[in-house]
Amino acid sequence: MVEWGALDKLFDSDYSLFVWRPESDSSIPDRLGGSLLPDLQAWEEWILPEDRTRRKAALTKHLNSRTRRFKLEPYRIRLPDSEQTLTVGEICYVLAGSPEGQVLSLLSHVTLHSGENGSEDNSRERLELAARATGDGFWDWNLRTGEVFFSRQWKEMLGYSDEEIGNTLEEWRSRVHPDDLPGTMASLQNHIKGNTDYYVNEHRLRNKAGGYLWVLDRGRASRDEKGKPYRMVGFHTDITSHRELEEGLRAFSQMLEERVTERTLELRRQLSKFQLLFNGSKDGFFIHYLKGEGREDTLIEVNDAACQMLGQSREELADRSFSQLFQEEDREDLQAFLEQIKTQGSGIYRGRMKSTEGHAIHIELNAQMFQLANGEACFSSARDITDRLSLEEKNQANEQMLIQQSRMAAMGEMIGAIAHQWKQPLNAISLAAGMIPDACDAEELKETEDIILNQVDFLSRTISEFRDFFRPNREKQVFLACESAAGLMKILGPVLQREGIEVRIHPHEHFSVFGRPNELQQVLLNIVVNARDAFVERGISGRQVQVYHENDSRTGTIRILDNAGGIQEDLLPDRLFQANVSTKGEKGTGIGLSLARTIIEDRMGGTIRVRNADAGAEFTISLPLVESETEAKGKPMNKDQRNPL
Amino acid sequence: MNEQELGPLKETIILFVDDEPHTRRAVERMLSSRCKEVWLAEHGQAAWEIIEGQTPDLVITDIEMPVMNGLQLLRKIKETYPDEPVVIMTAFEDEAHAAHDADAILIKPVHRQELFAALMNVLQSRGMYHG
Repeated sequence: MVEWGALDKLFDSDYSLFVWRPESDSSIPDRLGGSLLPDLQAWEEWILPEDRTRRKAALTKHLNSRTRRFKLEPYRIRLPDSEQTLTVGEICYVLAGSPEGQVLSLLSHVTLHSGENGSEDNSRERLELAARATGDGFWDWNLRTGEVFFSRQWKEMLGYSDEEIGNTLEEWRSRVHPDDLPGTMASLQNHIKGNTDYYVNEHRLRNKAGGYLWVLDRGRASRDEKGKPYRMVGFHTDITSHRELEEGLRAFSQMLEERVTERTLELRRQLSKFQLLFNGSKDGFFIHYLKGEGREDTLIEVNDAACQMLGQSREELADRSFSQLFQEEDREDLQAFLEQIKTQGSGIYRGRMKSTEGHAIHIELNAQMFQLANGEACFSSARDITDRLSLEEKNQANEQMLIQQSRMAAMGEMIGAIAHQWKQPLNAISLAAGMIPDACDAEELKETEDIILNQVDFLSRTISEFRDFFRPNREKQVFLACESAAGLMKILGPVLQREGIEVRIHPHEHFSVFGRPNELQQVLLNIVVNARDAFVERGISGRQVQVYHENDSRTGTIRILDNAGGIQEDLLPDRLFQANVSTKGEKGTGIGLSLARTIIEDRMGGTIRVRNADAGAEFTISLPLVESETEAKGKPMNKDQRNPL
Repeated sequence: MNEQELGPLKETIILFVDDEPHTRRAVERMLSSRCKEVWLAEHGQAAWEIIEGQTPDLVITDIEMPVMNGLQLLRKIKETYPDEPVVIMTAFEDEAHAAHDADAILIKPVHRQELFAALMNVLQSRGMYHG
């Protein structure tokens, strides 16, 4: 509890400041100024109960509305052990940037009710001091004499010095903005007549420079025992910046509102455009979540085409799992694909959806991931490719047939080789059989048998090689490229040799490629047979075909170089690979090299090129190397380890 | 034809040229008991080296061979020793026309009796076979 003397000292200094926190305990954490104050709780206890409730309500209201500066209605306090009551004014400032919304309260001593009124001048000084502390202008109007006292700060607020403004009401009235004057005067008269407890008005006042300030004008009249006002005091607060801010805010909010309206319209237009596109598409659109973090791949939205494709309504599809729309056996692959989408963002997948009747619908899915507030989602557009697939299948079958036919045509080329290959061992068998009549013992018979069996083995091996070459549609596999050339030469070698053509295979590098070995052989066969035809037609001697195998880290190259005089220039570099263009003019079919390109480029993912070298044509086949268990064999080896092919 | 009729080959030296070892072995086995000598060569070049040293009574040669083939050997023999009888063994009849200088042509696979008959005919026509 505070000593009375201390409190007396408080009110001697006219005003006092303290800082407090509205929502903490009610103790006062800090003090400003020299005044000594009791704690807030004690202070509140001093307030007359009827005023205490009013103050508390006003405080709460202001603080809740986040007003930064407000003035409480004067309230009365009764000091402990005293009959004396004081009327106290309190102006509160919510301190910006302070922790926990601290409030600075400025308390001013308004009147001391001790039976006698304080002198007018004394109270004016006190009020002026209070006004100065808040930065407000103070005015004091003697209604009996009409004299008005304007504080120095009131004058300075308008840009005048003390001497420039006189003591008449006109000094103020003449500066009120003409538009605001009628309302302001009415408000003032209303209070003087006793209709309002306080006079409060906002109006514009012209300053010395001719501009206008917005002021908040607050005042109260003092009345005699008959209720007749004899004096009125008040404060002018410069609220220009506040009004400007308010104006600015109003304009800003109006602009925002306009922009929101505009944007909403734009969004609505976009939405209807999007809806049109969404539902107008022939592809089925599925917007769905991606599985993960306890979420299923639930459908969010589908378009008309999706409903049509699956033969189900939107309602039937609502909340269904996306992957459940697929054939059971495709779901695992689809899940793997959708997982991949999460990392790659987008991708294409081919699979089969399921119609209501359970039919498979072949689709190509184009999926694009995006983020929704509640997780990863995906926009999947599904195109029915049943027709395209059957066309592709048909084309593939045609291509397959063409390749097979071409291989059969090559059979014509090869039949001589086959016959020749077989004549030799047959001859050996025949002659070995001739040994039997002369055989005089088991040993001689055994020798005969050995010769015959040896030749039978040879025949069996060659027939396997032929079968490998002619067998259609073998599965793709990883194989050593140089084995293709070597295998082909086992078959073709004797025919070429008969025509004086020496084929040399240089397995400089052993590398693995992926495809069908006999298709690569077919390409080599076409090239070598073309060279053979050129040698024969042109009667070239010293006939040679060199086959080189080389590779870098990613590509294996097979280079076939002959000395048959080259290819006519107008077929280079590309025309001879076109269908129906032959290096042999009328004699050729124009199929061989075009198929060679189909095999190398479409079926094995490589390239085939040709150019004329010094003495003949040079074909270069580049194929992608494959990662596999045979990769090791494909790595360059030292000389001793090389396959002696 | 009777195999006994081959008796008079006993004084004959035959050179057989073929790159296939089993064939060489079979021919050697069939002829060695009936001829004075059977010489063997694996290609035309080897055969020519033998012939240059000592001319056999008759040469039987295959066509398809490395280094020097049968036709080249035939040409060389006919140029140098026009009277030397040469029997050609070939896989195909259409190849035979290239060997028109040959005294006889055998088409593979060759039977024992065809071989003997051809040898007798050639030697008879040369007056070297006195049956």
